[in-house]
Amino acid sequence: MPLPNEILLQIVSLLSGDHQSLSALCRTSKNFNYLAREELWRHLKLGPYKPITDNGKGCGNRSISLLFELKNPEAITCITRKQDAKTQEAMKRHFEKVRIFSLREHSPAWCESHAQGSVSSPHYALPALTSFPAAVPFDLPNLQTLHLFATYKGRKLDLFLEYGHQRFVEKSTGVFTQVAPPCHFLACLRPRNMVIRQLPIVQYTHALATDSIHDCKLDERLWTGTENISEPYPVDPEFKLWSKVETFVLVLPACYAALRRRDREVCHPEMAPNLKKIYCVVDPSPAPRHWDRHFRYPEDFVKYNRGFGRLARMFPEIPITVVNFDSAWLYYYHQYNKNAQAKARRRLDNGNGIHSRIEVHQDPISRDSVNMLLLEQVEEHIADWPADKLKRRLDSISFKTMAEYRESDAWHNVFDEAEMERWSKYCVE
Amino acid sequence: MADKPKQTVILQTSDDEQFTVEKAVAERSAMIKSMMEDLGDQEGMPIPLPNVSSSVLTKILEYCDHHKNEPLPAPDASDADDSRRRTSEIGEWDARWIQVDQEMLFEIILAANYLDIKPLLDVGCKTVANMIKGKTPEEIRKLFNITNDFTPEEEEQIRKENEWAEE
Repeated sequence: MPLPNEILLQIVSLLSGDHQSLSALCRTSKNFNYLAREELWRHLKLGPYKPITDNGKGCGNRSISLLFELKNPEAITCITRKQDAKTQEAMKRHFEKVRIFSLREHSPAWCESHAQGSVSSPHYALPALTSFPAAVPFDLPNLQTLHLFATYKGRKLDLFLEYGHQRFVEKSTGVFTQVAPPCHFLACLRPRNMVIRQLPIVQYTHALATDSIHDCKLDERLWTGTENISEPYPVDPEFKLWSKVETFVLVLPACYAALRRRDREVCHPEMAPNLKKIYCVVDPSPAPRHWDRHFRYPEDFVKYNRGFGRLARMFPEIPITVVNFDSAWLYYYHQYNKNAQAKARRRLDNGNGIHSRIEVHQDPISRDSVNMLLLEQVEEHIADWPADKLKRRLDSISFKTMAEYRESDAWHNVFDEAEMERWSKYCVE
Repeated sequence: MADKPKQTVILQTSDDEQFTVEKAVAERSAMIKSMMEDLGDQEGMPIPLPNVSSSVLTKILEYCDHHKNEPLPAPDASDADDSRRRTSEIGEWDARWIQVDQEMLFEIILAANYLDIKPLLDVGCKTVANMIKGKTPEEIRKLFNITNDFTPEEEEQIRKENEWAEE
């Protein structure tokens, strides 16, 4: 007996985020295509790397090279290459379905290739995007959320500047100069929610970078500095990517350092006049064990999030919600707390190389005291403010556990259910 | 009140079999619950279930009996409840209980839908979703027993449009 469409739709919605299965469903029959294509196109994901699927077991002891598996490096050309008229028409209709767009890797070279022929990087090569951008104007009229993933560039910090930034202003002269070609992927996009994040693996690679700049006085100024924040910021009138953003979500481990380089801001209050809320969500995905040595001491984690103070200073009036900060911090604390270590190892390993952060609750340190460490950092950053402004700032920073966020905040148009479920698995409340 | 006799209700399936069921068990079905309220005190009056066969009802009563002491879901569960229910995993007992052949599984889902037993419908849908994961279009067709009604050109067209989603 066949199941009615009403029930099939419920089944399809459970596959949200599983693009492989959804695309298989679409090719099954006309009816299934009709049922599944909305869900498939709701979240458009482009990028050459395979997302790290941990199957609940974490990255474990897998070597780093395994985490860099390439996934369909030509995905981006599937969307943008020259198509026949019929396909173009169909694509345009599909673009209207997109609510979430994840751009997992991007470099100006992709847009440049229009002129130059082909793109190559240490990790992948792409055929020339010769017909781009003429084939299909890349507009997603109903886009809610844009996920920008940091480009993997070793120790370089300007991870996000390449995205859509056509021109930068030279502070001394006030002149805009073109440093990257116009970004065709982002030129038409006006998201409501902006998510800045990194592939899990890059998070930890980048931890290395922030670690190393900690010892370098000059560079440290770049990401902890308070100078110039209150000066008027020259905004490129043609750069509208942030113009409708209301919610700004930073996925941590921190990439604050990547948010700023010299006098260039990835986001500045004046770029985002409609901004109402900032979230800092700590991604609890387990790190490959190899990287844990960068978090040897509890202070490391807080130090690593030092840019937070700067963020709080830069957006003085915007409420900030920090999600799951304490559980990640306590995890690192546990990993290197001698008494807990042996127990934690037994628990975490479970004989399967399972490596997770689920080891929070027996900790004698309360989550409040952990969160306080982050607030102290903010206080340090805004110490020169008048007392009432300072108090308002501290009062408008709130802390939530992953479960509280999942229950009470409007994340449904921001993250996939599958991602939220995976995250929740690593956070015992 | 400890030895108060258990209240029961009689259910009659499509193949005219009658089941005498404890009210707390039958109440798992929002549909039966509202029918019992409508019938009021007319004890002994069987409730007809023309869409459910006796073999399926036997199986479903097993489920209802196991869950009879849990709180009933609110009749108009909000979206937030909805998502929590959807993302939670299938319980251990439920997972074992639902290990049945495909035909029975679909019958259970249809009956859960008809009888309005939301948690059971969810368990059923999740089970089917898990069966779809990682399958090719041909395998999915076999699972749902459907035929490919695309022309080769149409299928190629869809493959082309969705190519970005392929691993």
